[in-house]
Amino acid sequence: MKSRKLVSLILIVASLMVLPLLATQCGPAAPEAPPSEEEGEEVAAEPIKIVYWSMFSEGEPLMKELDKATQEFMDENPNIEVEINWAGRQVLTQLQSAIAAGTQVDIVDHSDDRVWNAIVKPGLALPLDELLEQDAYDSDGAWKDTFKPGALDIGKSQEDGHYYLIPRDDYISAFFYNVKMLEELGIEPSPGDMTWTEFVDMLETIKTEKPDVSPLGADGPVSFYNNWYHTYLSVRLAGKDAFREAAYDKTGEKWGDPEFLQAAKMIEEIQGYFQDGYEGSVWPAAQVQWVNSEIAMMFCGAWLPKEMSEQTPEGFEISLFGFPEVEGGEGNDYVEHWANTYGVLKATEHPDAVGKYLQYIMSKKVGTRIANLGTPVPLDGVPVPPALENQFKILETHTAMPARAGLNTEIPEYMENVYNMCDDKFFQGQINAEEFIDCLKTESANFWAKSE
Amino acid sequence: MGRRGRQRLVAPFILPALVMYTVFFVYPAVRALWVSLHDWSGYGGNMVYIGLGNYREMLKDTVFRAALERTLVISVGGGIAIFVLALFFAAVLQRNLRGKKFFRTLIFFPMVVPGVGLGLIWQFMYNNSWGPLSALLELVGLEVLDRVWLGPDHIIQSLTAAIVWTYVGYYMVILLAGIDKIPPTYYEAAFLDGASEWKMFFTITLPMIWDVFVVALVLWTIGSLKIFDLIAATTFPAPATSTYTMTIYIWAEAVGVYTPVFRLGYATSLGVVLLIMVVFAVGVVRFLTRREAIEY
Repeated sequence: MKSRKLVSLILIVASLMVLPLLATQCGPAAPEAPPSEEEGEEVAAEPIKIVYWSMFSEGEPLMKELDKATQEFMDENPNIEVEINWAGRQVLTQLQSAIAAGTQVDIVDHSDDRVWNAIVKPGLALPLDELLEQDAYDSDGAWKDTFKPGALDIGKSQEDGHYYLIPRDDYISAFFYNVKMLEELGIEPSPGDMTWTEFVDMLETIKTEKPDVSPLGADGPVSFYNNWYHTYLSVRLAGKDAFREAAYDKTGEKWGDPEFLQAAKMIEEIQGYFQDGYEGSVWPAAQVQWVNSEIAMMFCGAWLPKEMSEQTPEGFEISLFGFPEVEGGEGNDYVEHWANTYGVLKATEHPDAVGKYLQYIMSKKVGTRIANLGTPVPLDGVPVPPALENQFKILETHTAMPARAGLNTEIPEYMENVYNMCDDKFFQGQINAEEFIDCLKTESANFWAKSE
Repeated sequence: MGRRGRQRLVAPFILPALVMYTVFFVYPAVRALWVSLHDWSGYGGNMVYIGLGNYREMLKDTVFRAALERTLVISVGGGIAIFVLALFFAAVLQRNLRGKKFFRTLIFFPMVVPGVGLGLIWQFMYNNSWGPLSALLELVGLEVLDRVWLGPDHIIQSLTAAIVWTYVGYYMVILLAGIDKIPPTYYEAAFLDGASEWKMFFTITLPMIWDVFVVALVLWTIGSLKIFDLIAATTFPAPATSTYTMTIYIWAEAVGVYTPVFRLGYATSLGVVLLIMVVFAVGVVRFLTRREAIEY
């Protein structure tokens, strides 16, 4: 009896200590008061602190540039303090806890699909339409007019038509090749209209003429890279809409359309051109082999030249060409286009100061310095990094589509657990084209059934 | 002092630890159970209560089943290898051998290196282009044995080998602590009776360290199901979806790897299942290894 009392006492005390925690965690979040006109005026008067959580880590070239630009901004605006958390690529993971704890975070950045899913989809992002209409930092026109045509569409909602994300550096996916190696073989790839037949011929030429070089390279465990081949070929053959319909088909039967099998067969046709052991080549091993001229080309996002800049030997010349077209295809004019973007939390208490800061770090002045680091910046009048000149040529002649025809952003779980799961097995040579299609059909039906 | 008095004395000592335990373990565990009943991205407060929906989904989740199988392969296969080797090394290194401290330290050494560092070492070891494993096989003319070590057909075996190498020293030290406590007179008597080394191991050593062995086995069971850092680092930046283990799958569902899958609710339910698995597995181990304690 007495021991029961003791236990009860302990439990009561423990409960009293835990209850406040439960109350704060389980209760509804206090509604955020919309920023008032007066708050807008305080930009010029009272000291303000805004907080930016960055995808960069200390020491990265872009981090240094942004840090410098931020210091300049604070010098120009002494009443605004910008606190930056250089959180690195896991910034959005940390943001989960920050939001739950009510920590002030005004700006975050990452790839558009990630920021979209993290803050736009759950309704935590501030629409940026008004900011975009304001004058740009170093231009007479509106800020939105300083961006390259179509660049802002990356952050535009199809549902409500508002802009939620500001692109900082934008990319297409393309084949990156060793210019000198291909020149030696008399090959000059056309940037935007190579056909699949020409592409395979080119691979065969490289294989024959340079037997010690792998025509294609891949780091096989990276699902996100592997699935480029089948998504692109499917879009090329069947068209973007048909590809999307297949993913959304709750029966999975749409994957049985002949174009998707044909796309898989075309991949089987080129699997022998990848480097030996590509299926177990852990990133960035293949990329290192590429800059060491052991691999002629690899398909990647346009961040590749910058990503490999420290390992790239002097004189190694890089260029790119778009994914080849297929004869009679329904989607030959598409090119994937996405960006690393800034998003603003709608809980921010200082939207004007945040806007002013973003306008500064996305000004032509700062953008030029970022571009000079080798990063493509979607602002008009900003220089294009030499290795990426063809990116902008391709964008001018093709229709931009989001990563994996938008499916990465819309249904990431499907892409990860159905499409990538089947595609990895296929791309890494564990199953053949027919089995891959069967896998897609079965797993799609299973996925949609469990989601209902 | 009476019982009541003892309780009054003990309570203030227990209370701080109990409160800490409640706040930092019981509450998060209960909270995790609650979160697992929701559809939630992890961002904001828009949790949608779906009851056992996540658990029902798990029953049909083929990625989960495959990840579970791989985890069990590592746990059981790795466990057998670890304890065979740990017992062997412990039995050998209990003797008065020259340099036994050096060898004990050498075998234990991987445990003092962070898992992430070990993972990167193994990523290098297994690299087919410039890794030492493939180079060594080529050097001794055994190219035929070379494999794509981190490819889908061999990655689980490769990871298991790395895990065994890492943990064998830790369990060897635990077992050695038990062996060192066995009075040498037992061995002397057995030796005089003409018992072989094997006989002595199975009739003296193993029975007399049984309790220690069971503790080590329980620790391995718990640890093996939860291994994350070594696997994540060896396969950094991420393993292919078709090679997920349970912990990697939980991570991928919670915060996404490359694809922005933010499903903290579902990931938490996977975590709850992992916790139940750990408790169940420990119960099974305790049941299978139960026997009367030997006192000496």
